[in-house]
Amino acid sequence: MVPLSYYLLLSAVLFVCGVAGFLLKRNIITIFMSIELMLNAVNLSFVAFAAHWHRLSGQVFVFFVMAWRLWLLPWGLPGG
Amino acid sequence: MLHFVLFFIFAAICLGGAINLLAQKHPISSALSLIVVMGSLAVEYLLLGAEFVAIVQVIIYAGAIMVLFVFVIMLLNAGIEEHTRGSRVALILGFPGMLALGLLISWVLVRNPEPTVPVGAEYGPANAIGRLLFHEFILPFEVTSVLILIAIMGAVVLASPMHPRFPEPEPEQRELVAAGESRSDS
Repeated sequence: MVPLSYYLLLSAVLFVCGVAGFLLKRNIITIFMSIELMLNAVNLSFVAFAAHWHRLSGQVFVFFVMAWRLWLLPWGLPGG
Repeated sequence: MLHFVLFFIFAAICLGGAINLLAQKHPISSALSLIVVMGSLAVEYLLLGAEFVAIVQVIIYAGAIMVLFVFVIMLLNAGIEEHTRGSRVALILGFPGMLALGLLISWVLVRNPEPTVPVGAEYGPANAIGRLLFHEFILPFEVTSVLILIAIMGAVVLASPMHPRFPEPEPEQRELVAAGESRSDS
């Protein structure tokens, strides 16, 4: 099995890419996409911890994060 | 072994998509690379045994949110962004510091890897998550439903034709406008 730390590293690198895009990009839509990238990185670490400790609660949290993101969809807002 | 190979392949695809998102100048290319990132993340969720999350990821992110992004890009007619020169402080202090910190964290994490326990058959299916949602997390679930209802009402109000975009002219102004029209007629 793949160790937990690899998933956490992947999640951290994705989060850093999102932060870099948020800070460096000039287009507002690309900034929103960077925020999406950060949310996805956090979701990956949630699922990795859920698999590590055999708790399904992590996946339920991912579900709530996605529901929150969908709530912001009609306004076209970023998931902040 | 197969897990390792699949993990590294899709992690590489995922990182490539994320870096491509940063490198591309046109927003539509960034959106397409974000779709690549989300698809490969769905495969990572499948490797972790989270089938429900993988399916929801594909449906919600690749299906709803990315369609919205592409629509917004097409409607707003977003062009190529202009670049500015980066700051010198970030070049001297920020990037080496971040590189050192990242190397330190990854060294610590890779040196003592905690093996994940093999996934059992009863782990991660949708019915277990549904049971958890409707027993332990029933209150947040209901609050989420109210939240989605608010979103629906907001969308209806914003898109409604009854919503007065421009205020009606006042009666005196209307008379003035009518007088101006009659004057222009004569």
